[in-house]
Amino acid sequence: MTARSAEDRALIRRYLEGDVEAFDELMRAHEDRVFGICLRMMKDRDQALDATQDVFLTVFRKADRYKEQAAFSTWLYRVSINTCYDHLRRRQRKRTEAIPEHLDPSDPHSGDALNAVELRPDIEKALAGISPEFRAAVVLVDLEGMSLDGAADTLDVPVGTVKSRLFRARKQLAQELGNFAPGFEHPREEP
Amino acid sequence: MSDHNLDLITELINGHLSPDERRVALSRVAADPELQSEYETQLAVSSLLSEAPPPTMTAAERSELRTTLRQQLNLEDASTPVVVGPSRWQRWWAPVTGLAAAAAVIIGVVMILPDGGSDDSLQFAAAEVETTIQTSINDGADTGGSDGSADGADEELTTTTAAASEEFLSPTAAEDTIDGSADVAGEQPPEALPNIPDVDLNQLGLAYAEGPGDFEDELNKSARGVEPVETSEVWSCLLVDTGDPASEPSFTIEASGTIDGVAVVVVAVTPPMEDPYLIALDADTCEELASTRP
Repeated sequence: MTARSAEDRALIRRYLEGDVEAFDELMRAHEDRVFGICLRMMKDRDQALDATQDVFLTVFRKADRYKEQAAFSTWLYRVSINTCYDHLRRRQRKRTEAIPEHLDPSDPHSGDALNAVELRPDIEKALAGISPEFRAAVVLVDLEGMSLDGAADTLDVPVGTVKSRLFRARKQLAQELGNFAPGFEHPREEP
Repeated sequence: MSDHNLDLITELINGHLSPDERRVALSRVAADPELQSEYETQLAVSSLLSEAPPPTMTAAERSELRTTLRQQLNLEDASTPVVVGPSRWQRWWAPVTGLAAAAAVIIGVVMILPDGGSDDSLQFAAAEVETTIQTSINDGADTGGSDGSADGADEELTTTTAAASEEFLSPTAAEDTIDGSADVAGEQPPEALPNIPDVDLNQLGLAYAEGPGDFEDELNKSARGVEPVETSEVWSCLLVDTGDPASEPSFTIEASGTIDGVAVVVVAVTPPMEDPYLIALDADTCEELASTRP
C-alpha cells in the first residue's frame, strides 16, 4: 500500500466521522487529477467541472460503502471515467442543441476551450475523434501516466483490453495527426 | 497486427519489462520492418501525449467546486431552519389513495399549477440543470458495463457511475441499495392530479427510476424552450438544522422552470437512511408545491 493510499483511507474514515477538514484534504489531493481526466474526456471546461462535481458527490455520498481492499484512487478514477461516459452520452443526445461550434479546436475563436484543455489543437481534435473507450485508455495511460495495470483496474477491464484499446487509439490518433511515419520528426509545441 | 505483436509493442512502451526482456523485444521489433514502423508510430504518439502539461483548475473554479460540494453534502454549518413547507400536493394526495405502498415507489415530478393546468402550463426546463441526478436511485440497478470490446462508440456506452461504484460497495451496503426499476414496476400507478390532468406521474416516476438519461428525456419533453430560473437562492430554502448532521438529507437541484409565473425548482432529496424523493419548490417563497415523499 502506498503512503497516498493509506492516507486516503485514513481521510475517508475521518470524513465519515464528521471531520470536514478531511473533505478538504481529499479534495486537495485529488481534485486536479479528477478534473484533468474529466477535461480530457469531455473536452469542455464547464462540462468537465460539472462532471468533476458529480464524481465527488458520488464518492462522498457513498464513502461509507467504500471497500478498503481497493485503492481509493482506483475507485475515484473509475467513478470519474464512468461519470464522463454518462455525461458524454447525455451530450450526444443533445447534440442537436448548440454545443459543437465552440468546441471545434480548429476554430480560432475557441481560445478558451483550447486553453482549458491545454493540449495542442490538432491533438485535441484527434482525441475527440476517437471513441470514449479508446480515449479513456489514452487519457489514463499516456496523458495521466497511469500503468497498464492501473488503467485496467480503473476501467474494470482486463489488461489485454487496455493494451488493445491503447494500441488502436494511438493508431487512429497517428492517422488523424498524420506524418508519423518512421523518421518523421513531428513538430513539438512551442512553450 | 497480431495480438502478440500488439502486446509486444504496448509492453515495450508502457510495460515493465526487465532489461533482458526489453533487449529481446527490441531485437524482435528491429527484425521486422512492419513491426518497427508500428512501434515507432505508437511510441511517437505516446510521447507526444505524455509531454502535455496536466490541466489544472483556476482558483475560482476550485472554490466554486468545493463550495457547491459542501452545500450539496451538507458540510456547512446550518442554522437556518428548513423551509420545506406544507405541501399542497401532500394535502390532496394523502386521502386519495391510502398510499403507503404506492407512495413508496412513486418517484415522479409533480407540478401544481396555481390556476389550474393546461398542457402548456406544465413546463420544465431541465436540459441545462446540473445533473447529479442522484445516484442513490441507481444504486442497485445493473445498467451494464464495458464489455471489453474495443469497438465501443458513444451509443454503446452503458456503464454508469452507479455501476462503477457498486463494485466497491460492501455486501451489506449492496443489499441495502435500491433497485428503482424493480420497485416501480408492477406497482399501482398514481392518479393524475385533479388540476393537471395531462401529467402522467407514473411515466415520470418510471423515468426517474430508470436513471438520469430517461428522466432527463422525460423532462425535456415538457421543456419547450422555457428558461431555467435562477436557483442560487434556493439553497437557502433547503438548509436543515436537526442538530444531528448525520441525519440530515442531501439535496440536488434537478430542474427548474416557470409555471404560470411561478419560478419552480425541482430538488432531489436524499435522506441518509431513506429512499430519495423529489420536491418542487417555489423558488421565491420556498413553499413546497409538490413532493413524491413516501
